[in-house]
Amino acid sequence: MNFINMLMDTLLAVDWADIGVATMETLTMVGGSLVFTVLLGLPLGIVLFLTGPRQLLAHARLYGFLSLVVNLLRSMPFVILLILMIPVTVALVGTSIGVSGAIPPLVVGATPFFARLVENVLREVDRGIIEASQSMGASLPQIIFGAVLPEAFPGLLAATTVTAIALVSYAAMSGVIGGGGLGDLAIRFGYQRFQTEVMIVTVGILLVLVQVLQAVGDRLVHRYTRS
Amino acid sequence: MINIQHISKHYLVDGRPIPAISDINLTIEQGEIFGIIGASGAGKSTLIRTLNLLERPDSGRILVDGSDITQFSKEQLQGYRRKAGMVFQHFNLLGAKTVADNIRFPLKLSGEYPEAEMETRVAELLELVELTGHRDKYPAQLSGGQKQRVGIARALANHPKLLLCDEATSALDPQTTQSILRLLRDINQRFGLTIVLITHEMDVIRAVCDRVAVLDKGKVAEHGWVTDVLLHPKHPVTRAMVRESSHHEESADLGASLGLSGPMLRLTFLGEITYQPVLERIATAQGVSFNILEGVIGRIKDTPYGQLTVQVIGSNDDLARVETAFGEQSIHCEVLGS
Repeated sequence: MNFINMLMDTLLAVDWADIGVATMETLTMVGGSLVFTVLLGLPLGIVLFLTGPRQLLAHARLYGFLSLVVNLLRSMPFVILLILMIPVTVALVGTSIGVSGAIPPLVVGATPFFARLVENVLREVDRGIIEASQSMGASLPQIIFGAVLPEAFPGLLAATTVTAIALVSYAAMSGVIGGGGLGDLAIRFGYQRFQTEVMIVTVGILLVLVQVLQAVGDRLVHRYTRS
Repeated sequence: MINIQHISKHYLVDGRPIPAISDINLTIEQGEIFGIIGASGAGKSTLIRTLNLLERPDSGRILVDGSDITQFSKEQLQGYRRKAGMVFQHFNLLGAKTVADNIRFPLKLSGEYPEAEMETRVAELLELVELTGHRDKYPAQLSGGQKQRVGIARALANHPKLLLCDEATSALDPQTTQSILRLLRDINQRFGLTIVLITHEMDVIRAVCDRVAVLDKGKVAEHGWVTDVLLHPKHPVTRAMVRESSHHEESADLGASLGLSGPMLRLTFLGEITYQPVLERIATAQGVSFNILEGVIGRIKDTPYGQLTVQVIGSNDDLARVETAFGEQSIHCEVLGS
């Protein structure tokens, strides 16, 4: 009984309006940055795939260069990237704080990650399917858009799910530089003002968010897998 | 129709060049079924894949209807490939598309068909390969033979002049192989389509091919009409393959292994004479008897043939007369082990 009372006290002490606003902000950051990550990462992943060794447009130097850039961005701790990106972010969206200030670093952090996942997914497509398309006289765009991407679609959905979940944790981290959302709330109230209950609720919501994203992603992958 | 001139191709294995095919010369005629047989590693796959430039030869020319396809621009090559269908050992169907969409795919690629015409063509092809009831299934729901039928329908979609079959039946069980071979013969006859197929199975060559080239270590060991190559193989590799597929011993060893002495003949019948009582007639006329030791009577594609190893019981004079008598009947007669 004592425990339940404590829990009730905790939940009542939290400002749910703030939590609601912060949750919406997190969803906006994740959703917005996911859109840009896919828009930039998919073409980058396709180029990585095509220029890779023994692929259709094999080009060792271009592949090496892109690979280096991707590895560089991926090896950089996200917190550092957040800070390094501040001038670029200001130039792009006019501010480095809040939801809009968080999106550019999130996109820059997640795009190389997503592109690498895309490259791996595309490499898994049976080489025979590419050859069959070539033997039918398909042009390069026809091979990519008509055969490779549709075949890889479930894999691409899975890669998008993984990326969305990574973005949830990145978005929370952006609270460090005042990025808004649940992470921001957790740092300002939960950490700096010792309101442990805010911290607990925030983590709980993030957990639920990740679970929901994974479940939806898995269902979509299943829905589009033909075997 | 296809004139292969001096083509060679090598691969780099650990940085060293390993020749896959060297100096291949072959002519494939319009409307025939041309077989290429060889053991694995003989270069047959490389050879057939040069015919639509999935593999580009290092040197040599490939003339198709007079134009050298190795000199084609990208657009010309794409146009040529649309008229040269290919069927694969592992089918290579698009797993995310239905049967009908797989067949529609090459039609879409060509960009020449309005939507309604595409539908008619897809229905036509589904009927041709007897898969009308499976049009909305996905490849994963089909058997191997059905998948290959989709592969064939897809390869035929754009009314090709040439069909390349890369081990099209090697992943299938014997019964399914027969039905796919029947289908290939059927489309060859109905549409006058030239078919080039590669296989490691002599039975496939025997069942459908008009002419055959035997490949060994990247070179053409021998080539010619299937009846000639199968019944009178010259190259050791061909002999070994023919013997293996007919489960026969080398005839020369036969007499010795049976402990028989006396002249032995290998008789080869080709055509209608196969079904006539020739042995009986000659035995009666020449006053000898024949002891049949081994033999086969069957068909190579549509041509009846027989090949018998017989011991002649009679004198040496009889043997000479018997040989002449067979010769008069156009029966190929070879004296063994003498």
